[in-house]
Amino acid sequence: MSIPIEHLRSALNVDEPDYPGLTRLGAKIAPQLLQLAQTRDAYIAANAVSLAGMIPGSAMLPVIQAGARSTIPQVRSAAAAALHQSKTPGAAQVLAPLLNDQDKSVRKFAIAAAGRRPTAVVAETLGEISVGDPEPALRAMAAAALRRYRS
Amino acid sequence: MTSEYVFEAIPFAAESGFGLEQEWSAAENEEEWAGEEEWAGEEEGERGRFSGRVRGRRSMPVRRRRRRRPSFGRPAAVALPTWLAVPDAPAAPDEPTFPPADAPAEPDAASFEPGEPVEPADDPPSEEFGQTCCSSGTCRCSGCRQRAAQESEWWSGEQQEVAFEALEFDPIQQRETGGPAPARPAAATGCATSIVPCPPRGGPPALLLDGFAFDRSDLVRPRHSDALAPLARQILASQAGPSPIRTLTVVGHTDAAGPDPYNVGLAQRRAETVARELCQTLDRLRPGASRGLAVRLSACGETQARSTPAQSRRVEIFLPTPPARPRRCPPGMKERVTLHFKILVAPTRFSIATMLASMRQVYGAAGIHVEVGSTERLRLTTLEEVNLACPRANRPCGRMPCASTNLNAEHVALFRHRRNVGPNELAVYFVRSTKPGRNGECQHPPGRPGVIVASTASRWTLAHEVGHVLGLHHVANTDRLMIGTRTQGTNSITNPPPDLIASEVATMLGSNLTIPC
Repeated sequence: MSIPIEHLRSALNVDEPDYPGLTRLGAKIAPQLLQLAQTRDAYIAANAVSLAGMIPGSAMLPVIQAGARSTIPQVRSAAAAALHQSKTPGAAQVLAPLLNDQDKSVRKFAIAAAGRRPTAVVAETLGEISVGDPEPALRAMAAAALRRYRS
Repeated sequence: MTSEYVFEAIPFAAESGFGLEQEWSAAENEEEWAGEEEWAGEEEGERGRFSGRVRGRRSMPVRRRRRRRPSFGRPAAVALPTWLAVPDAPAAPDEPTFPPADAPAEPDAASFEPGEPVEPADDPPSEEFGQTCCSSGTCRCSGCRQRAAQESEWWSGEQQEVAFEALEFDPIQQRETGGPAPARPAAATGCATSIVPCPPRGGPPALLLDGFAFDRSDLVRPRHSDALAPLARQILASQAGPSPIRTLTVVGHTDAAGPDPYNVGLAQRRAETVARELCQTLDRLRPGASRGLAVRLSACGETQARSTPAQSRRVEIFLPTPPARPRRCPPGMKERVTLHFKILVAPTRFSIATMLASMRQVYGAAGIHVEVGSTERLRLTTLEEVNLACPRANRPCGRMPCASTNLNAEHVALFRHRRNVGPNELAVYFVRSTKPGRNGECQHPPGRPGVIVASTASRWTLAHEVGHVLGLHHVANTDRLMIGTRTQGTNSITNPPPDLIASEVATMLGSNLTIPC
């Protein structure tokens, strides 16, 4: 039985969404989450992407990709944070542009996620961030992630 | 399912000073010296009192040099300026160097002849007054004898002339001639000092440094310097608060031994030494922090001696009394809760003022006044979107009680910013968003009560999250403040203002974070 999108919208539009409870709905809510991730409501869209990151399976990757393409920084940072925990194959491709995002919060979550998905492309980007990012804290984060990758 | 975030150690702590730069404006010092002029000169021996049984022995060479002062046409009571590039003023007695005629004879002074120098005897070192025998003035060891000889030489030759030349331009000299004491920077710091009259006895000082060595103005290390560091930190911390400390008064005292004019000078040197150390400590903690701090120096001499000489040889630091914060609750309020707003990103949906007014509406009905203790903007760029992911998924996370040890490093780092927040007060951190997304979060490290409010929060979110910290749980009724996750949370409150039932009010009043009015 499909879950009505309004039901999901309401569940995500509370002060403290019940993410553990919502993840039990599983991958079948991917279409609804994709729609919600593309809404203009920053809170609901970001929460939909966050929920997608908690549900295992490749069905959630389009939701995260939609979040990564959002014009709303909070939604993009939600996508980066979702990639941090998602074990979906192909997530590294979504991660690459977020590492160079103009928003520092997005970059922060992307760097944290990159530390868990060490690929050559990611490592190269981390190297650039570790010396060139305008935020000292992010440079330090990138350097730490790079050290872990090289070790 | 809760996720497991394993963030690398992020140098968030390095950001702890962000957003707190605040320029001090130089405080004006318009006090004019109104103190009594002291001209001791040849009279000092007559005015002095003899109180030490052997102090006169050590001080006879000093007496000799003091008698030479009038030949320079200068008052003998003038204190040496500490900003001269010379060591601490050479030891001179707190008391006159010879006893008055009616002074009782003491065994050690039996051979004492007023007006004549007494050569130190070859006695073994004494521990009478503490670890350093020389500081007692009673010791006759070779080291003390050498020191006495150096003291005698200090006033000879060029040094003597240089010292008095400097006095020509010294504010202390102006004080003695009745002129106003202009502010001037202390040596190697940005502090501006001025001379003010000895204040009357008042309340307790912010810091009391006693136990100065007899006839010395240098600090007792590390005791004095250790005590100054917390005060310096307090001054720095105040700069971000509602009552920044920009002036302070440093008052020097001596014991009762010695002539009044000399003791005024000695007290002045002690005050200057402490002020200089404090300003240097400020600059060490935050370079340039002493700039604009106005230090009022005052010398009371022996006029406010305490019960023992060691307690009397002291310096007191007084801070300006901040204007009392309004602590009275509005009529009808039983208790109050104090919030300190820490703004990383201002809310976009409802203003902080609206959230506060809404909270006061709900809490006021329960007899709880919501007080704002302080508001601070924090520039913590990496915490504007804060990670709230549970670090250990196998333990409860995101549920009551709000005080939890199961928080990730980023979450804990945010709650370290508690400037001005008292132990029974709450910090409210306004951030852009949280990950995973929540409008509010009550979980906080134990002992650091506070909440997080996201920029997308509803007008009731602040009241709701503080309610959690005060011990309230979620309910399903949309008329109540603590509406939970089964509906649209505080967005779905149907009958504003939302209610608090009697048992909830009792729980809130029982919290240690609600203080009786």
